[in-house]
Amino acid sequence: MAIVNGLATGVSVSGISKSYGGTAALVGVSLVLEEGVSVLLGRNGAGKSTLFRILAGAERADAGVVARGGVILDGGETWREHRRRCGWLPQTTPLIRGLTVEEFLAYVAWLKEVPRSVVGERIDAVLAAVDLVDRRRSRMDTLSGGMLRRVGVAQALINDPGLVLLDEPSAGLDPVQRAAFHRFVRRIASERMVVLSTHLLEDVAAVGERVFVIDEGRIRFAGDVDELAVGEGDRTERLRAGFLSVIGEDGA
Amino acid sequence: MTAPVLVPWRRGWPLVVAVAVAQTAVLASWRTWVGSWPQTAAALGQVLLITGPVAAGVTAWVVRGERREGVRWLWKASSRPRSVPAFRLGAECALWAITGITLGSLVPLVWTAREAAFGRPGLWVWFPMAAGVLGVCLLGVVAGLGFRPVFAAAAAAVGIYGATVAALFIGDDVLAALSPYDGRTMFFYRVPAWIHALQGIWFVLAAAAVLVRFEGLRRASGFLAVAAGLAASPLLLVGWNDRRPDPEAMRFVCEIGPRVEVCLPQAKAHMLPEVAAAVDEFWTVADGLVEQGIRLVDDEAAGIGGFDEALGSLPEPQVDQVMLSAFTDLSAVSRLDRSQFLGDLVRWTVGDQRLDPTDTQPSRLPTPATPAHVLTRWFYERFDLPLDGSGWPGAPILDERVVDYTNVLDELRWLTGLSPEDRRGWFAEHRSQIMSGTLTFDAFN
Ligand SMILES: Nc1ncnc2c1ncn2[C@@H]1O[C@H](COP(=O)(O)OP(=O)(O)OP(=O)(O)O)[C@@H](O)[C@H]1O
Ligand SMILES: [Mg+2]
Repeated sequence: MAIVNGLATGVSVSGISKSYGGTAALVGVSLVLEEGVSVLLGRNGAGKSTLFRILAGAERADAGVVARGGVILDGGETWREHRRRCGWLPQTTPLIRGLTVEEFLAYVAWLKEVPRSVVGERIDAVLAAVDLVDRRRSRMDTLSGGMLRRVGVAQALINDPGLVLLDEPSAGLDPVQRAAFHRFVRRIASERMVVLSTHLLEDVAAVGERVFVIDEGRIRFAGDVDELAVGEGDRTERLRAGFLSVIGEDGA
Repeated sequence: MTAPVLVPWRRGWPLVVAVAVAQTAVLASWRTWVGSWPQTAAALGQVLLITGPVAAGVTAWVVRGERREGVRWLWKASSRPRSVPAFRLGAECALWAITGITLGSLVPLVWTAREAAFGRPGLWVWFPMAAGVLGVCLLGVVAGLGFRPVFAAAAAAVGIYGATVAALFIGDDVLAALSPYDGRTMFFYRVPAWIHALQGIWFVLAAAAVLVRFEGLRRASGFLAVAAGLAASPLLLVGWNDRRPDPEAMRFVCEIGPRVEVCLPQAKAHMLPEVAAAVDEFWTVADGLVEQGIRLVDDEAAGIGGFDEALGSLPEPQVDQVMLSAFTDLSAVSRLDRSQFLGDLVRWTVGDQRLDPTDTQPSRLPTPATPAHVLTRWFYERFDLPLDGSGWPGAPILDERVVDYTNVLDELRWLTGLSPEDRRGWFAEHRSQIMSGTLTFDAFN
């Protein structure tokens, strides 16, 4: 077990590369995640979901290391411990037809080794958090797209994880739900690391504390949200200008 | 393991119903097991040929009903050891499938319990059955995850069925050694419990090896495959001789009727009333033709260790002792087919064996009726047996299509018109010609 100097808390990623066949999805990505909300911003195909899969322990990187709490995740045991304390909403919401919301959450709780004695209260808590208490006994295939997305967020929190990875969580949410979601993210981020990816600068403006701009598998910008904002207009407008200039699409 | 979470009753019931219905339907169509415990156990083992593919197919169907990618990602992000989620899915499906085979076993068990005259329920066979179902459900999970959703269920069912049939074709003895599928008759045998235990264990290990390999765990897969091989090897070494003769089952039980004595081994004692009734029916009609007071002995067990002792312990017969194999075959059936049995008795007494002309000269039909045809037709009419060959498998065809009775109608009428006393006298007078097939039409007057 190796200890990374000076990084006793948080998650750090260094030199992660991943390619599929000939396509390089991530090239030497390094970043540090700490408590609060971090936003991964990037256009389609930038490598956001690939990075999430690696962070969630669902896929192996070709090169590079991930460390958590100062411990490099190198063996099966360290990764298992990491997964136990990590929640992940994949870009496509997992759906098991025929299961109710409650049954699905219980299943994810089993996958995450949540002690049986607390599963009931965890389900209550996450359903309340995503405002779906009244859909507890609905079958998953009868939910609307946005509700399903919220179930996806709920399952990512079922094990009360210290690291929450949300891959485009706001996709498919209506404006009311999106505002509620922003409040929700700020609330859960007060005591844990939340990483979310998005294409929406509105999301970044509303919840982001730190932002990572990723493009063609490389981190192009890492810093506070306000550092990304440039130019005139409201905050979202200025973030857009900053983002476009970072990825080299600023009308040049 | 706790209650099923991924496949609750709502999703699992089709498995229970499909397996239970398939098993009950197939068993009901067999006549080999009613009333005999070892035969019932063997039939339960054989019905896996059908329930295995059904369980695998429905499992694959349940599994492919999930959005495959999404669930796979959840599994990969699970903190459980890899392949444990896949196992749990297979085990939950198997739980329902095993419920199905258990329900499907109730009818035969209750039925045999009501009729059996000997032995105890061979419930050990339940273990390799349940294990076999667990194994095919694990393979069904692999099919459900690995094949395109449209093909998954069919691929699993056809694959399991095809593999079993191929194994039967390549070596039914190997299959009988390795699995509870055993086509041999079991009346006089017991299968030791350890054989059933190993039959279940090696197959689950082998199926687990496939699943684990599918999940990308090469080392664990190799380890499981070796373990499966180790569990299977004692079975292969014992091979064809995995059954133990049961001397108790061969002990004879006899019923002394007014004309004939019938002795069946204990294992088939539940058939004694039917056999004795059919024998009595025949001897009443054939009064004068065949000897009274003889003893008929079922010799299906001949050649099995313990049979000679059982035969030797019978008291001396009053007149003579005839083995059933002289004229019929009651092996591998646990229910008497009265028509076939009476037909066999008729063929035995009416000595001419060249009755069915379709056997010998199909080009010149119909052929003129012989005295043996007249006698046979008369017997058939007395016993209500059809002449057209539809009475039982392998029945001779003796109707007007192949035998021309127009010139013998007088003889038939004459025979029918005889009083029982006259008939007894006539039979007694011509006994040797009738039984040797040399009777001529001169005798009919
Ligand atoms: N399983 C895979 N097989 C082959 N190529 C892949 C696979 N997954 C991702 N890629 C490639 O890796 C690159 C990064 O994909 P990724 O899904 O991480 O992008 P993304 O930033 O999440 O995009 P989006 O915003 O569209 O979701 C893309 O070029 C993609 O084609
Ligand atoms: Mg993506």
